[in-house]
Amino acid sequence: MITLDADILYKEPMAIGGAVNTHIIKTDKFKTAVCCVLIRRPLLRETASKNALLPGILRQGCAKYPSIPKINGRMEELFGSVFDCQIVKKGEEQILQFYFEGVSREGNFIKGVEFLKELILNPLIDSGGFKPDVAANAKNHLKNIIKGRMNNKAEYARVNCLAHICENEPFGAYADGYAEDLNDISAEDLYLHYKHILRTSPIELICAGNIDESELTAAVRGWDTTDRQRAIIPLARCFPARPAVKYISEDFNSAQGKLCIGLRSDIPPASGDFFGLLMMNEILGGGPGGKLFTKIRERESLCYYINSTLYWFKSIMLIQAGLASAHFERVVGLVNREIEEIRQECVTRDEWESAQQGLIAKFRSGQDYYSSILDFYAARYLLNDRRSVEDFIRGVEAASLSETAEAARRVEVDTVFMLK
Amino acid sequence: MIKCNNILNEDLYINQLSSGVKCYIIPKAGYVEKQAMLTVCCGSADNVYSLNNRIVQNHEGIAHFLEHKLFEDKDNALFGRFTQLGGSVNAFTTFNQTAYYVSCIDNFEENLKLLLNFCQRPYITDENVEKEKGIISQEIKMYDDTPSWRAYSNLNAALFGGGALAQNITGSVESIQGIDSKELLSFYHAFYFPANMALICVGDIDPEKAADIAAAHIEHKPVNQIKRGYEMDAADAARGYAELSMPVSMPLFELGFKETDFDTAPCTRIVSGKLLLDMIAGESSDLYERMYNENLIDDSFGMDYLSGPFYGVSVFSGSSPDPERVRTHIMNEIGCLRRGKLNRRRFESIKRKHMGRFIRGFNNIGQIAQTQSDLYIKGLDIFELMDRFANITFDEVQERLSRHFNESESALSVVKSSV
Repeated sequence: MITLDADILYKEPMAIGGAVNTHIIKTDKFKTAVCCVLIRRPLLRETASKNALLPGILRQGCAKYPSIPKINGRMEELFGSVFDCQIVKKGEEQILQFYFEGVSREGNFIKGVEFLKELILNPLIDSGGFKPDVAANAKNHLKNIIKGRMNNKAEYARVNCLAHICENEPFGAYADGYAEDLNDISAEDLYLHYKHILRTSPIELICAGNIDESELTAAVRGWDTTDRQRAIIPLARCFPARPAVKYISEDFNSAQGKLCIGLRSDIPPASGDFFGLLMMNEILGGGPGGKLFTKIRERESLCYYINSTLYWFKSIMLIQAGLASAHFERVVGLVNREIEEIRQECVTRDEWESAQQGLIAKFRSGQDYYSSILDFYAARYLLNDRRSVEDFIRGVEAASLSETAEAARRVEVDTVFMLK
Repeated sequence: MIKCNNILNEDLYINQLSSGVKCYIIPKAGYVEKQAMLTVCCGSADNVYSLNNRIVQNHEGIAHFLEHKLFEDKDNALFGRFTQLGGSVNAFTTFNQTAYYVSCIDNFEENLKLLLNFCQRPYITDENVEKEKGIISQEIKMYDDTPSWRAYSNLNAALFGGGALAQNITGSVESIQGIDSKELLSFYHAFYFPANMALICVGDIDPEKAADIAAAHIEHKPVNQIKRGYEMDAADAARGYAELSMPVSMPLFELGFKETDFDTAPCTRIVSGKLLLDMIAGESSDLYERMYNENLIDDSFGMDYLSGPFYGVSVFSGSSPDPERVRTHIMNEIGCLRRGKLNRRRFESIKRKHMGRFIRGFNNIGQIAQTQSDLYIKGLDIFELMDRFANITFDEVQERLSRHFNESESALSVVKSSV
């Protein structure tokens, strides 16, 4: 078990590793406490759909709470606690994540942990498989989710741009599965698969809040069976961009064109050079002080939103904007010009300070949100990176313009995705 | 006035300053982020208003356009000034409110002053108004591509006929072309006076200092006796059905019931509305399970009670292969509950859930500010709502069921698939 105060995430390098996978982040700042269970699988095209079906099945019930109303009735009894089960893609891991959050009173949290344990270990089964009607529901709902990717066009452009960038890497696989796989997966196969992943996956139980360690220890007893063999999941690798930019255009007859420019860098997230990349991303498209916002939105009035996001695990940068399709080429040209400016160290003092302060504020204000605390902690743990939030803040403070320009020279456009 | 809430274990400082502005301050010890929000009681539903017996008709989208333009200053440096103070500034417009807010970690008082300052000093020229039209047009087109937003807008159009609530908050690409600096400034001077505003501050802050800054930096201005457009609207009957086609994989729907029960107090209307929706079709209901197992609804299915000073709507929304059938199910269930099937135990369970969720909302600085901003427009504070969740009775909710959810005041809006 790893126990640490939430403050420590911000002050000291945290303790990582060990064979025991219970993590406690102690804080009494919030009204609620959280328990998050991560069942970690490598993201692979072959198993993506099987894993993706599991949340839809498990969410429908377990032996003790055998239907959606029963599960939600239990959440109501636990003061409107929140439960969710979903697939999360972190780097090249496809994580089956269970989430419980409940107000901290009357033993609510421990009851939540016990609820998750029931849900995970005692699912609804019927003669050696998941219940057929439950599996059929899950397949149908997943098919609709996959078909529904087209409904949110900006998201469609984002997901497809990433898939093109990493077409030959695990990261390019869809973590929510493939419609064409679903018919061939039986309720029995799926249950065997689930038992297999329970036995062989690294499982992390991350709890945060005002938590009593001994109560938690008692509640999770029996989870970590001795015959488990944990697979080792390789760390995602970062690659440079392809030699010639790939352009993809899809016609959706949309009111507004969605542009997604994908850039790659081979600077790994755990390296010291990564601070240059963080600064470069922030100067370019981190907020209203960034070059993209001020030059392309405010000066040229070409779009309402334009920003850039860095995908830490893969050192991929995505620039997204909504604009008139007729202006695609012009905006791609303007974006390239702004990237070139950073490479040439043409960054004003305001741009620099705005980026630096913005990044530091993001790191610091993260401690006000469970989502950020859990994300930061999980990412560090999965990347085997021992740095604290303060280490990151110091790194950002120490970053120089020449390092930032050097990082910008190591980022190249890989794929341009245009949805018209 | 200081209010304490024992369930939440929080304090709320409420002050009406001599300028007329209402201050709500909620200290949150231990939090890093601080937020100040200046809320003006005007929004897209105020397109038409009457002042000094003169009816003023504005272009659709005026309140939202003004929200964009207040960020303008002479040397084009407002964002930069906030950045120097470590502040992150933004705004939003709804039917009834326009809210400007800054989040920061340090320099709260300086950020607050800057927020109050820019909201009171419009720098609006024909040139910068023209420049904004391209940006807002792109914002409108972004919403045009969002199926759920289109379904919701269409629902309002169906429920509120030709009235102010039927219009889009942003206006249309065509309607904003006619907006100029003169119109924006006259709208500004009509609505932006202290007695029509609230200041909400949340975070690890000194309540008295924040109130002092508000007192010193909000100018006194006379109160305008505005008659709001939506008060002048005829009560249009709801049109039962509206649809449009878009490239979506499955139809989307919004089923809305217009509020007609204005005799019930606003706080009770909101709380009972939310509880009843959950009792009818929430995730713990039999109806939810039936519709889910029939593959009529999926995880996108949800419901909410939305309201302003003169309106209220209960909305069920989601994706479905057969929205009409969802409507039939919901109408049948309402009929069934009205015939005495409303369950007291379920009521207690749902009430407990909503109280827990409300308490959870106090984890989040931004959410507290936004909830209080929304409640200010309705003349309420956040503790009143919490107390109502805690003390509402089964009989009150049962009574409300007979006064709301009338089929003749409902509409179904569907976005059909064009692919």
